[in-house]
Amino acid sequence: MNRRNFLSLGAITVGGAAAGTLAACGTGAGGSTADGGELRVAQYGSAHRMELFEQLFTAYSQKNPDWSLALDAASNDAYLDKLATQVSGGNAPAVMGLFHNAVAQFARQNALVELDPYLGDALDTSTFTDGIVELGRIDGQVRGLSYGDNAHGVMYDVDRLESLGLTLPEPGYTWEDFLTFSADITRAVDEDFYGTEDRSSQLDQVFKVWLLQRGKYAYTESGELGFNQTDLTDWLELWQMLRDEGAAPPADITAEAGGTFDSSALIRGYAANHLTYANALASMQALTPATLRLTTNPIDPGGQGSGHFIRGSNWVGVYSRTEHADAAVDFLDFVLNDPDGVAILGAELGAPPNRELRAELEYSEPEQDFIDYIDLVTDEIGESAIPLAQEFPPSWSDVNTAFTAAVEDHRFGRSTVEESVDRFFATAESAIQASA
Amino acid sequence: MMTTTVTRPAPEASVRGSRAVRPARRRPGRVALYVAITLGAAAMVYPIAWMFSASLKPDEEIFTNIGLIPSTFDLSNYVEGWFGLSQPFSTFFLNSFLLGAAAVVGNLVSCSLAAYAFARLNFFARGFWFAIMMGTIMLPYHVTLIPQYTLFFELGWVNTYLPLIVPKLLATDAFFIFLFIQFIRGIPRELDQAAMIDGAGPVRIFGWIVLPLLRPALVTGAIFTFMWTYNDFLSQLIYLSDQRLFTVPLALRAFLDTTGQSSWGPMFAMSALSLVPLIVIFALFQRQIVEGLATSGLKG
Amino acid sequence: MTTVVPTSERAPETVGGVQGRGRRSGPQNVWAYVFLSPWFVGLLVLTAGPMLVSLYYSFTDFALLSEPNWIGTANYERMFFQDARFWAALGVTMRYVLISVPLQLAFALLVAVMLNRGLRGLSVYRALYYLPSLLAGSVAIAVLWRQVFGREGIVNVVLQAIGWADPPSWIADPDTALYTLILLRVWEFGSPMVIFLAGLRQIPREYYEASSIDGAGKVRQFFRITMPLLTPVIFLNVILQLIGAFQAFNSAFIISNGTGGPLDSTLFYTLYLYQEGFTNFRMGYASALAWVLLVIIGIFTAANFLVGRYWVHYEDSDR
Repeated sequence: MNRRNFLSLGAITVGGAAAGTLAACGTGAGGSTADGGELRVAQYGSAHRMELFEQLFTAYSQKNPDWSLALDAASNDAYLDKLATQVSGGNAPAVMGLFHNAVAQFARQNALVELDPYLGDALDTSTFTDGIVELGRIDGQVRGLSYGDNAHGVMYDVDRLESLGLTLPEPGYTWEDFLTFSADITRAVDEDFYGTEDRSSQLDQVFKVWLLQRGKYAYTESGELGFNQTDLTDWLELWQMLRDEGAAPPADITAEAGGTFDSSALIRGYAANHLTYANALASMQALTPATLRLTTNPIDPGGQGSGHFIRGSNWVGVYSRTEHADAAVDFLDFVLNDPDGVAILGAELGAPPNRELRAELEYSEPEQDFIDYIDLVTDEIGESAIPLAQEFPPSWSDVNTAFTAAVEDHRFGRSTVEESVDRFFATAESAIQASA
Repeated sequence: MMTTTVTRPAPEASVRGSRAVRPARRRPGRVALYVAITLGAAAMVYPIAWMFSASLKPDEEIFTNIGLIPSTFDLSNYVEGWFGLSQPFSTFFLNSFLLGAAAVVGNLVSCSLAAYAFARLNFFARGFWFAIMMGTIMLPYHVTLIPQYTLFFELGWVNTYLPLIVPKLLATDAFFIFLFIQFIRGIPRELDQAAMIDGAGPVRIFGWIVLPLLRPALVTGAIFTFMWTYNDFLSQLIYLSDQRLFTVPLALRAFLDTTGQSSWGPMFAMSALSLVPLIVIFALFQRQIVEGLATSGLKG
Repeated sequence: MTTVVPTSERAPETVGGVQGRGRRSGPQNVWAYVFLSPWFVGLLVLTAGPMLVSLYYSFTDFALLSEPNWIGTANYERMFFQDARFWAALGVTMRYVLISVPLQLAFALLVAVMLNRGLRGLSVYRALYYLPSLLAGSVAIAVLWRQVFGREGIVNVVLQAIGWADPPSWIADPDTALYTLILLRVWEFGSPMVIFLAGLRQIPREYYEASSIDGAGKVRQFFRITMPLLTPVIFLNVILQLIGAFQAFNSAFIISNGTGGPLDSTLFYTLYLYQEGFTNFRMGYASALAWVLLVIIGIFTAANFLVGRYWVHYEDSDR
């Protein structure tokens, strides 16, 4: 029994029965016959970002007068509620901005158009970083693209470092350097202040970098866990040592950070750094008068490579049931490859994928620092990138939750390392089984 | 002002003003009461004061300087907030007022009618329908969001105010039905019975006896409906896409992107500003609750 | 004398708190359905359909973006037998409800009675006391609560001033985080306060006048007149706040940024439901969670209606 039959119980009959089932449509390519009309674009983010999108629309409409564009905007915390509701109701915008962790979920449920037929022709990716387009290949088809390139990194309050006679750690510094450096800062500042924040409980942050330095991924290609008990034990003990040495703050300071920029230890004045995605630099900079600069995460000199890799930042896909798939792709080509489009968006959604245009643009100071950092990771230290489907298998959210719970339990001193490790693997493995 | 009432030893049935019939001059107790009430009020006002103070600070100071006194007295957040979105903020205020007013009318009419039937009339399966009515306020709204959206989409109502107004006209806010039922049941039945002896039917009893006596509850319902509609974020977000239709809560969230570049200063400025009409409305209407015509009970 | 005695010898057909009297008569039946017609239409067209659909989802694997498949009672089995977080969330919500509802109502009643008296300038105070409730859904609450109950919040500034050297961060400590949310709910007591004020307003003034002539004091008046006559409104507030507290979502969502942390200590039931539905794309499971919550709330509400017969006095009841 499908939903629409159920709804007609409500005495409402508006001919929805013919609308067909939701999952049926996966075509898209060539499905658009209209050569004009309104193209709806969904995007999350700030008012500033929405303004840039309105500028994009104006610029695009000037070149394509038959098309008008409408923005369907929502703030981050409610964006997926609205988008999923629209997709479920069969009424989603043609162009859908997506969080990196939602792309695979949307693709697996056939909500996204297969982009392969458009690539290279309607959508030129020849100037993109090698392999970046492949990250969006899910179940054999490219279903999503990233509006910009990104990587893991660390941003430091360099004014604070300078006042202590220190300088930004050079890419290539080791975990041992990190420990000494951070503990020195803590000792040098005579208040509740620490050399580094503690971001150990997020699976999708610095843990992935550290793990890749051991040659491992969080998940295998088949969606199993890619690391073992020893790895997690070492990870927990590493951060316990950082806390014991005073390099990292105690559990409650860390717990006050809710995952938002404004609540991070750096902004609240408890730590000299923030370990996150590099594209956060400009947003973080707006929240503090101090100067922030990017560097890499620490590196294991005995390990396998830098552990850093290029990844997408803000993703986008085309709604599988839209009538305007061709137009949607054309709009994306404008955003990603047209000099005007790229100039409007700048580094707002990550480093522009079109590397020729990326190199030509002018940026603000934090944006330039970010672009330089991405170029460094891309050209010099980066490992091969991890496809989205592997980064976010069906069970990713449950595994993330279990990871956070295990690390926080230990951090708060509520469980031993062994207990936390055992609990994580038990919970995570049953979640993976349940979703298989 | 409510304290203008002069105490009378044997007042008539409808005295204007306050219910405090004691002479207003009894002291140490009264002073202590004022002190307690004032201290309490300080705890209530702190957040507003803080929000106002934050609205005067530049973004990079809001989180680094947590004091109440901003280092600058700068109204630019208000200017930026008012004109910072695709429409001036007056549009959002106007939209929210219209929506709130429609919701108030809808809720008061439809819910008081239903409440009267539940409280005063005998009809088939009343207990059953009452249980159903209570049941409809017990299901978390997150799980009916999608079917409701599908329904309104099929009706062609998405991106209009209809999904936000029509339900109010049809008494779907059962919260208010229950509210009115309880107040109607506080009205002595002798009043209805007297009217019934005079030959009045249910319509006249409802219109001439119950509604006037229900005024405190109706005003309460009006205040709540307006405030909650004015603050309701999720359903307005789901159904409205066109920025010209945006309401105050949607506009406030537009400033904010907790993992992106946010405009905290303008958000606080507009948040503080958006409270002003609510405070004014509450201050005006609360008098209707505590003052006005006295309930005249016929018993005793 | 008008002292009110709660009636326990109510008519036997009292059902669901609505008190019946005598046999139903034809015309009343018709009129009742006329008065109820907007509600009936709303129920049939707008409310019942989506509710039944969500009930149907609860027996499916509905994942938001594609058609659901029937999986029988698997969701309910998982909930009761395999899902530790379900029990954790239920525990958090129970504690929240059982502590915050009585506290909030007691506070609201106290303030309502204080503000109902004829003091000069009370209308200003009533507005001030309602202020926190206006902030209920505001995202500013998250930042504000950190400023108040955080490690360097004003609460700790005060505690340090009176000699507690190193007080913890109340919002970040798993043992205390829930209590800051309880305080938040108590602090937002404006709605029940207004309902109490309206209820106080409805008490005929003659009762007080008669009893002060009889020489009854304020306290005696409160317990002999105010409390009994206010019972329908107290009952109303209990039911409404109970349902509201079980469904509490916004405060935890905003303050914990949707996580329910630290260590799931503020994982409200509806927050967990939301995570399952919209973060993990398990709307089928979320629907099952919702219906279990409906049953739980229904049981608590029904129990209150039963107990209410013994302490709630209605002016319209037979004597």
